Amino acid sequence: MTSTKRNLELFGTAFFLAIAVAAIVLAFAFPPASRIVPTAIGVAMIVVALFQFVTILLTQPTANVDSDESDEEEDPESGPGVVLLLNSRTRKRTTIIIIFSAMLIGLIPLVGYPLAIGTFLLVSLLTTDALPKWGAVVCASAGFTVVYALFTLLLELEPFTGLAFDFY
Amino acid sequence: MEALLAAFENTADVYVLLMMLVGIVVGLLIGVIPGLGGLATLALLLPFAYGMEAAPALALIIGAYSALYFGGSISAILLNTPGTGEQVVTAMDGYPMSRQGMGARAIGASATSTALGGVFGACLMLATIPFIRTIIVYVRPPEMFVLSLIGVAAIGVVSSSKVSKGILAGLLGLILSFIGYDPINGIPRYTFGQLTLYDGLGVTAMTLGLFAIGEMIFLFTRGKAIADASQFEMSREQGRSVLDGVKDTFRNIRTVFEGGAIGALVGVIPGLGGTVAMFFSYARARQRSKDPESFGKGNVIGVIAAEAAANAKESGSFVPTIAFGIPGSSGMAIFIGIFLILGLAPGREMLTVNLHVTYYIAIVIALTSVGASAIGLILAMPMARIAHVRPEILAPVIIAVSVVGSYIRPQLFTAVLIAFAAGVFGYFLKILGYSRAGVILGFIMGPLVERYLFLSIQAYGPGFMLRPLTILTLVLGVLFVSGPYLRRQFDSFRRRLAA
Repeated sequence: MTSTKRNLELFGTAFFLAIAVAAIVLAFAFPPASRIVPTAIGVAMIVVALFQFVTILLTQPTANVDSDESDEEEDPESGPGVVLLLNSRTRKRTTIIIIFSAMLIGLIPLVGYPLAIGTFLLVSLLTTDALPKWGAVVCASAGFTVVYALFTLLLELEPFTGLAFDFY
Repeated sequence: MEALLAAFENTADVYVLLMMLVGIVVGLLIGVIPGLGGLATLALLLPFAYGMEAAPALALIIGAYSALYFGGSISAILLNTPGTGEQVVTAMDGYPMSRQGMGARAIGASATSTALGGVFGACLMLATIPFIRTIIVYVRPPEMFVLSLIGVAAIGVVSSSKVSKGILAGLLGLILSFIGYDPINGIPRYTFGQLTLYDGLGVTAMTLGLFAIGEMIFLFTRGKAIADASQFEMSREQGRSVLDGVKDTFRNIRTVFEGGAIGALVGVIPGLGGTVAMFFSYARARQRSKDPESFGKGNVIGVIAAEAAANAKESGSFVPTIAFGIPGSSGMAIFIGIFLILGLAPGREMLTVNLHVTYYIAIVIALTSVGASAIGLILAMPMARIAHVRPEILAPVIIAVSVVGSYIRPQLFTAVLIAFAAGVFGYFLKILGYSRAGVILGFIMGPLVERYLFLSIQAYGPGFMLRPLTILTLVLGVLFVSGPYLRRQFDSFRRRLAA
């Protein structure tokens, strides 16, 4: 995958993520019974889009050249290959840490979006070069939304399930 | 039996027969133009369904859909430019025959095998209906809820470049369907106070935008003629023995029946696609042949095998679409929208109170397959010229039809704007490899998914997913949707082991 193609794919997935997040946020304005299905679909969309986003993010792009060289496989045993592998591991670890931390922050009652995203933007700026900054923000906001929406959904389902779930 | 008689009675109407004829001509003309394809044709014909009764509307649309395949075969054989993309298998032997001066013979064989394949597929469809009727009795709202979700995911997965992209496309369609009144509680959602959005985005505007306008933007940005004119000059020198092709088909009738059976079977499995059906049938014919080396170099049996599977596959696709609301192909996703516009809900009703409609569809498929081949044989050579039409001429015509079509039903300018927005969106979905069929199916199924969920909770409580049949449906559905992904993983694991 060339870096242009990779950026295009990332942009496409971020667009889907943005729609899902917007759908969930806007759904809070509806009465509970009208909110359940859009929220559930939005959560499912975020999970799939996030998976795709991370997969693309972890794909090492090839150079944007038309020659046959771009199609050649990297030899993982060679020097540059090892460096790429290390980079990939670091990025994977950073991405996973950011998503899970965002989900944890989502568990804290009354934490709003600006605070959650702001925190992660700051953390990603200070701590690592392994991810693009906007990639970190997308992962953080998506991870946060999943947890926030899931718990809200459980609250909304109370009339149906009979389970009192007053986490927030 | 009464339903079958009622279906024949509907078919015998002059207006219905006229609509079939119109549909066939439209389908042939559009099918021969490479790049437009079946989905754009269905989208363009969708607005016509509003002003018609169910019988003539279905005759028009099914007629066009059946004829598309043969139209596509003409350009595949004469110009090596498959009209609908799926005819790439037909071109493998059809075009070499054309180069050897046997183009007319190949078209004759293609027409006859398409017609026979269509009739065979329709007969199989009729034969399966009693069997499905016994199953459908046990299918309740929870199962329909699961099937609806799986249908959305399945069509997206098989028509996208990646599993995750397919699922995302379906989910996006569902989200878009929530714009407008909530079907259960009557609360407006995602309308931003705009009265024109209270009835939703509209199936017609969305379908026309995603497929017709989106496809035109794609063609226009390519900026070149669809087929090379020099190829046609060569094809005009073809032999004229259409009758030889017809005789070839009857001499290889076993290949036709095998192709028809393979096509119908592949069609029943949602999303496998026409190309797969045609390749299976082609491979089977090659395997049975005493001269397999001649395949790909102009063997008429290759054309017969591929074409017999093509139309039969569509009959097979109608079975899960009608019975369970799970589309057997991308085109069937739009057909579900057409059924709903005509007041026909896919599922149990189509096999009980509307059984005559199901029989009618099978009869129309058989009749239009034969009609398309007969008319196509007469018009084949003049029609091949249409493939040279430049996008600069084609795009304004299609866009104008789309604008009028999207405006017809709600009579609101907003619908035109929605169609254009969906067109731009459809263009980007196409170049990014997301399934537009998945989006439209999600959009159409959204209200049904919500209704089935509501009915399931009302009838069985929150534990409705624990019904044995629901669990079985869910497990089978998940296996089916994840099948291609799991197979790829397994193959890659096996390759690694071997290495």
